[in-house]
Amino acid sequence: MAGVALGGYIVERSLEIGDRSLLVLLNGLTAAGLYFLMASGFTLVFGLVRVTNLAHGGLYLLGGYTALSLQRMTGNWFIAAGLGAVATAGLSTVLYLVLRRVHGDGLPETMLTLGAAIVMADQALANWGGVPSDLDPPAALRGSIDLPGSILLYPKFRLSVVAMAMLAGLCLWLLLYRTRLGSTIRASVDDRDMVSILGIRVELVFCTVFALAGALAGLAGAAGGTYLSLAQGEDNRILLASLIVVIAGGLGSIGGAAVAAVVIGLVEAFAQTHHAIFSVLITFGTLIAILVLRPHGIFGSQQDERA
Amino acid sequence: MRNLGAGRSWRILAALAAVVVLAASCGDDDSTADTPSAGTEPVEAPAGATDTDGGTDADDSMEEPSAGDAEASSDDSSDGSASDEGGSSDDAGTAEAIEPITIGAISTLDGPFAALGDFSMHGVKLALLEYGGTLDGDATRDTVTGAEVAGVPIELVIEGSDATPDVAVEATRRMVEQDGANIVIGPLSGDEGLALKDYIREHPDVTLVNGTSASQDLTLRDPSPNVFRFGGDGAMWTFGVGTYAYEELGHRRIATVAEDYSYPYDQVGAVLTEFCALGGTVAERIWVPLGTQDYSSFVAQIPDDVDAVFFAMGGTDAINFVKQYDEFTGQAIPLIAGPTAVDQSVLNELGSRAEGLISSGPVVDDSGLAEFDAFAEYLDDVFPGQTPNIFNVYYYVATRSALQALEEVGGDLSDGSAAFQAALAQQSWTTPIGPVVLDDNRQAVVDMYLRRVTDGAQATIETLPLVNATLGFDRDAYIAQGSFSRDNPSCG
Repeated sequence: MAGVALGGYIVERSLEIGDRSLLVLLNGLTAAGLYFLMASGFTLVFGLVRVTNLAHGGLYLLGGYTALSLQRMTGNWFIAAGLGAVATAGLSTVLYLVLRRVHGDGLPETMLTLGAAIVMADQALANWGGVPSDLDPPAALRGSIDLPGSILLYPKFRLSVVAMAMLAGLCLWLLLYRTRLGSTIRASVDDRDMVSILGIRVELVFCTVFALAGALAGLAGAAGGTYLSLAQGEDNRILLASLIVVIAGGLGSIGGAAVAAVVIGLVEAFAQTHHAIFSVLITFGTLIAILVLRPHGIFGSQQDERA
Repeated sequence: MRNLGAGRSWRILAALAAVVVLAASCGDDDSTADTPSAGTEPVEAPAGATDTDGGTDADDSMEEPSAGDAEASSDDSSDGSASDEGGSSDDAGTAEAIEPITIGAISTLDGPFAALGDFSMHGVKLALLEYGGTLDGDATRDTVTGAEVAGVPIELVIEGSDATPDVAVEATRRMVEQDGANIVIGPLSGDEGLALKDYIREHPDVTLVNGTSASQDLTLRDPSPNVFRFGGDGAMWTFGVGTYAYEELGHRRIATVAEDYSYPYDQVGAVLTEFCALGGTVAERIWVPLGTQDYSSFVAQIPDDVDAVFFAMGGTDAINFVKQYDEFTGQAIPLIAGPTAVDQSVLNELGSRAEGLISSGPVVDDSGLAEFDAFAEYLDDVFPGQTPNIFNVYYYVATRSALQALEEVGGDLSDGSAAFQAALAQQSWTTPIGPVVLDDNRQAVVDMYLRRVTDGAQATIETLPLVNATLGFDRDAYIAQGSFSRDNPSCG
């Protein structure tokens, strides 16, 4: 009964606001871009090291804040974002070196990343304070553009977040499928012991993946800190969002993360515009629906079960 | 790597559980981490007086000063009241100090309003410094020691919440039941206040002096006898805006965008009550979840054909909304602001985007009140670089009112704080933002200002003297229309 009422309400609201589909589409893609930057690193780490890295949100926040400080120093967004990503890559590597000591032990691993997440959040509060702040977009990407036909005014930087995510996705694909390191990484995902036996230093591969994930999170922090803002609590919000994307996409799958980011981003934007009251319900409902149809996520493989 | 079929789903569960723990711990970790430093001091003193737990603590601490109360209040001027009392009541050993009064201050030290929590603690500390206290340190959670009222030492305990009611209640429970707080100053946000009202009602001997929680129903409907508010509520803070928009700005049809909880309901409700009574209409009421980062989807819902958009948000939300509204629309439709959306605490971050925004609220920078200028100077003196905003002013006024009332009763909290609460209800003084007097529900009647953001400060358009809780409407009729909500008032 309640379902029918809810369904009726959704249809009614959808008819009410009909002419904003392009805006909703772009909003959804922007969100998807940010989610993908976060989720790709998250899922890569999980696929390889089987660690649910709960400090990934902390890396986002610290990356954003570092970029903020650097931008105030240098005045250049790209340098700031780049160095911020380098910093979080380093931090993520350190996290791996600590994590290595309890490797293979699920609970201590998760707890350790949880501890790291809390430390990072408190460090952000101590160093940058509780006042929210944001980065200035680079000069070329400031302001909004009139989309063809003056149908819509859309901020340039939001569009570039989508481009940035697509570029990052392309680079990741090239790395994973066109380089020797990439094939090693993929082989390590499939059978770590065998790769190790072949004389490859698996630890080094893991370290690289952690650094890469850290860099992506830092970059996401700079992007999110520019078109949204940096504030306490952002780390948890983005962690939850990327966790939903990673689970929906299939743990360990970059392609899955991309598809799920777009699906979740669009569903969220649609829900917030047309059914704001139910937006959280609809987003999680989508996740549940995906998991019912594909229990391992959109691109999740079942190979582990056979082993 | 093997047998991970089960392992994988287990991990998902573990991850989700961990996220929940993470979310919970972020509200908690600071406060628990802090309890040893802030909490041990006040606990130690009662422990010396044979108390073991908070339950009995309240009773004991009430009785002790009352014995010496007659002397204390009669020879107020004598500084040696401690030794006086020791001598006069035989069963109390001479070495035993007077039972201190514990003030617990709670604000949002974590989460989206963390910065505002800092400001509010400045206000609390300023008031205690006026009573002989000294700062323990510069950090937010560093307390004030050495303050005294009528010879009774005052201890300060600081707790933080993350703006959620359950965390606020938990933190207050710690202060009241473990640290033995007699007076609680706070909280900061609307729903926290409603939750604390219900909690504090069960502890009639403890007194809650509200900080900046601005839910109407903290005092308007079903008030609790031990809850006091020396400032306005969300509706009072928004007084005059609807009328100004209709009559002076000529708006006839508006849309509203506000956070989805009690305090913004009151702001939107007050604006629409006035605006619609004059004949204005509301095209769309858009409610966004507290802490929303991306407002693009909400900006998209604003109809193109309205004269103005009223937005009611606080802290980070206001900054994000104004920035994105600006990017998406170039402020083609003018904004009218809620009181905290353009409070002095966020004006700096809003920058030039806030220039010219109209709002109503309790604090302006050009009131010319001698008390305001003195407060601003005092604030900058103790906390360099800080300027008055709603949070430091309100927490200061709350703490100061409590201390004044304590002084009048000679620090006597006997008989369930009866004398103290009676004195508190009678407080009437000129605060940095104008005169304050309480109504029968212990709700302040105070001045408000219609204001415009000019050169990054709030400039007065008009002073609205002595605004009361029913905005000048007939009290019974106003109360009968029910609490403001997502769709109350209906507005046509």
